[in-house]
Amino acid sequence: MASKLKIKVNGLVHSVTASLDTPLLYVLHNELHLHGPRFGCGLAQCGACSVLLDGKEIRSCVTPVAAVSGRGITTLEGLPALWAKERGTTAASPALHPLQQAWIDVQVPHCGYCQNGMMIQAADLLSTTKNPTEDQIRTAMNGHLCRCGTYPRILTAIKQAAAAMAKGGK
Amino acid sequence: MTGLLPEFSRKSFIKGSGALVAGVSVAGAGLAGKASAAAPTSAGYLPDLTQVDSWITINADNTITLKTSKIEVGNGITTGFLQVLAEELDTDMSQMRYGSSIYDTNGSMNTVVDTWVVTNVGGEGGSNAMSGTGPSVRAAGVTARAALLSLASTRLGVPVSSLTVSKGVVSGGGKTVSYGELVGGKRLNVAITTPKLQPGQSPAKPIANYRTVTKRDTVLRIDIPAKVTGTYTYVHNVRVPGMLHGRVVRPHGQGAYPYNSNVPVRIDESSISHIPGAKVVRVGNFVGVVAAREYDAIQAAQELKVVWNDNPILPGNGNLWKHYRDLDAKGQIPTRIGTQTGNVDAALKSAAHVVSGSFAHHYQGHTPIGPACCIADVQADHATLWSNTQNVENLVTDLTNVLSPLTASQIRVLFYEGSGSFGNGAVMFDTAEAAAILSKATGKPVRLQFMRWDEQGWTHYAPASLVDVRAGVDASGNIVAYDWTQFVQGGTSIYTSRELLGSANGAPAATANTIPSAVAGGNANTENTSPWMKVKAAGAYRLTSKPVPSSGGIFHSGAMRAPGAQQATLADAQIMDMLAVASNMDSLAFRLQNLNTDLDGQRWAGVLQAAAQAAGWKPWVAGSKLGTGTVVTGRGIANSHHGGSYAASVADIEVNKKTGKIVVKHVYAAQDAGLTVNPNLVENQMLGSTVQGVSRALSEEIRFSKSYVTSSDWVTYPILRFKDSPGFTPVIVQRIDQPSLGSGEPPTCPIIGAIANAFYDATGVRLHEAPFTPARVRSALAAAAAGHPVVPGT
Repeated sequence: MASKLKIKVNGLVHSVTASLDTPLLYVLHNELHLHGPRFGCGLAQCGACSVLLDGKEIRSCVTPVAAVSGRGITTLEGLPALWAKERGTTAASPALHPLQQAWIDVQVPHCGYCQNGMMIQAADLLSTTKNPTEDQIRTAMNGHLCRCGTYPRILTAIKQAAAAMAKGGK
Repeated sequence: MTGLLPEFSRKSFIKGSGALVAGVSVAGAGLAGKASAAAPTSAGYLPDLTQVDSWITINADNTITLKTSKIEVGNGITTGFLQVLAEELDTDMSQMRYGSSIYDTNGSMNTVVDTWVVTNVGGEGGSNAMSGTGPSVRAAGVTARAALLSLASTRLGVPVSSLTVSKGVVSGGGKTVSYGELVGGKRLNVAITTPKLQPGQSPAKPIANYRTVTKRDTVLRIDIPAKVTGTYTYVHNVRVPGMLHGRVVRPHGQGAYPYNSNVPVRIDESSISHIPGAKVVRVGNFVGVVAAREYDAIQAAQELKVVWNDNPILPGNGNLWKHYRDLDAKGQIPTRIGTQTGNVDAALKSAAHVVSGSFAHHYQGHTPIGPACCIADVQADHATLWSNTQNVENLVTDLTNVLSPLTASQIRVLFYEGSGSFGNGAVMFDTAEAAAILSKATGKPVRLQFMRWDEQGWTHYAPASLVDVRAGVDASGNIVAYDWTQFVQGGTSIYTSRELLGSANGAPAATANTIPSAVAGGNANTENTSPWMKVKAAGAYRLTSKPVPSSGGIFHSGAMRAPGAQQATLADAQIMDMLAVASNMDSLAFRLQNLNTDLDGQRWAGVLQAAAQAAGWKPWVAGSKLGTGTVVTGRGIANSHHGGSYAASVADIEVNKKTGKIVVKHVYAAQDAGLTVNPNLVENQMLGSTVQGVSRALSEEIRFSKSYVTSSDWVTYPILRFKDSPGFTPVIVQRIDQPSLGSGEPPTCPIIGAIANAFYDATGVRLHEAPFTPARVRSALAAAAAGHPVVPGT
């Protein structure tokens, strides 16, 4: 049974129509037309669908939309604004979050399908661990799968983003 | 951002170029100037490959569009082609456009390839894009540049020899004119006289004058910005007004091929009556569901009660190799001797040292992170499909089987990128067929996405392989005999949805619960059985195929990244190492000594030495310095290839002898792919090839019961994770004097051999069955400790 719901995504409140048990992913993709979170497994095994819920990474493919009511969701598209907020700037959002800039500088993606979850998880990590060690990065990222084999460049990019964020970003 | 989303108007795709531009303009495509030169029509666009206008459009805004049927799979080939073309045309990368791709306002590209626009140069596969089509792109660029300079000479009144070009602007006699001003979207009407030009081949630009090609970090991938900001439009993101969501309904893994384990015996449609708007579509043995909302379709596919025919003729886990040996003993597997030189049996008898072993490699799957997806809009007189197929033109042909009476000229395929492909063509064809069937049955556009279990369970797997090999050396460490016998099945080329439609569509009928008739098996690998060694030509060399027929149950199989290379290299690289040890020689020195001395051999030596140098290789005899303790380390080397390129890798590994876990700590990979256009991009491909190769070597195995594949997700088909990812050092052996070769596959070939040889170096034990899971490693160590030889299937 479809219900009318309000969800807050990337700082904006949206009215959507969905049954309460619909996984958040399908609402983000089909109702809000966001491309960041992607269907990978529907089983919370791969992380392609990850979003931040009040700043913490969750798997939107198994999170019922009703469970996020009244809480703040950030998707890949919302990372630049999140970074602006973290820095306390009131100016217009930067075009890219330092993680996204590092992903370009290091030329991380192949197909790029999983990279949404990689950047979301990395944003979660860097929000609590400003200067993570390689072991901390590997542990934090271990629940995200990449089939193209980009892990080593992701590792480099996260270190680079952490350094850029420590300096206040690019 | 919404303005960039591809909301397709169905009407806009019906007929004519004007409608196309209007339709795609809604999607934000920068297609200005394109229509007049390459107007797609409902009759199909079949360009003449000898005409430069079939390849290139010079747009009025001084952008240049390249049109080929090669597609982007995250390998960066769109960037590579445009870089080659820009080099010849003296244009800037910011001016270059690919196919019908959509460009965001910030200039980043979303790949779109339209069969009604592009030249048909075949699909992507076998690392054929830069090697096969790159020279054609270069030739088209050279031809276009000459024609443009001729026009500029007339316009400016300056001889061609006095003209210079920068960023597509021609200068001479103090005046300038841009390519766009000269042509403005009209045709050049010039024939390409030399269809393929290798780098630097006259009249192409001399390599010494290159601005970006071969130069590191001068050109970045054009698809990456949109991929990291979340604006990239994957096929999964395409929406067509009025579309339904579809799912296929099948067991969560395939049964024996040719099927009949997958035939529905009974369907209870009332089992989904509680899901609003969900509808069952059954055509022949094909079963699917559609619903207006995606989650309703997913639930309907999950909850629809279907009783499947059970045909338990598979050998079941752990019995595959014995199954092969039993079939062989019963005379059901033919023996085909392929290559044979010299007298192998006599040479083995007189050899100073003979080594032998059997090496088995399990079925593996492509398993991209995002399951395949296709949107089909089938109308009475035409059909449009949005697909992430690797071969847009072949897909059109294939679809005529399920969309009859529509013909190829009435079917249009638009490529949008999906999740990494790795040769996963069968699933893309399967999803396109399924979407077409669902759209045709419902009269509405249908977006079909596979679920994880559909993707994992229904691909055409990299075939399992069992190799028996013997080889001998003389007293000086020269290989004198090589005798290879390989059990392997052939690929299957019919796709599941079409197969399920039944015999009317060219598929075998599947009604009786019988053992299916035999399908011809495959051939022994000729590419990775040490063809680089002198023994092939000068010694005694024999290659025997044992083509495994389908009788008794096998799976759909097909090409997976570097087809056959891992399966063969598992055996070949270890046999080479065993010969080196028998000769009391360093593994690298042994290989170098036995290489051919021609250019081919020199290029093999080049990559072997480059990988070894990067690793700081110090000669020793493998396994001569075994460590003690629970965790031991080892180093191994191997060379192998696919697509003509040369690859060698050194792997440093750690083995926990108690748990059986192998961790690959670092890989040094060298590759000679001729002239490497974009070194950073290619190093990224080498990295991906290697990490995926490590994953395949250590953990990937399609498991199955007597009835079905049971590897249906990431728990039952584990791949390498972040914690176990190796460090990586790539080394490109840049050969500007040689044609460009494939770069998407080479390092994925030797890595399994380098790991296996490193394992021997660490433990003194050979690995005879891949993947090298902890359980298999423990079992290999225990067998060696007990003095039991390991021969798979006996």
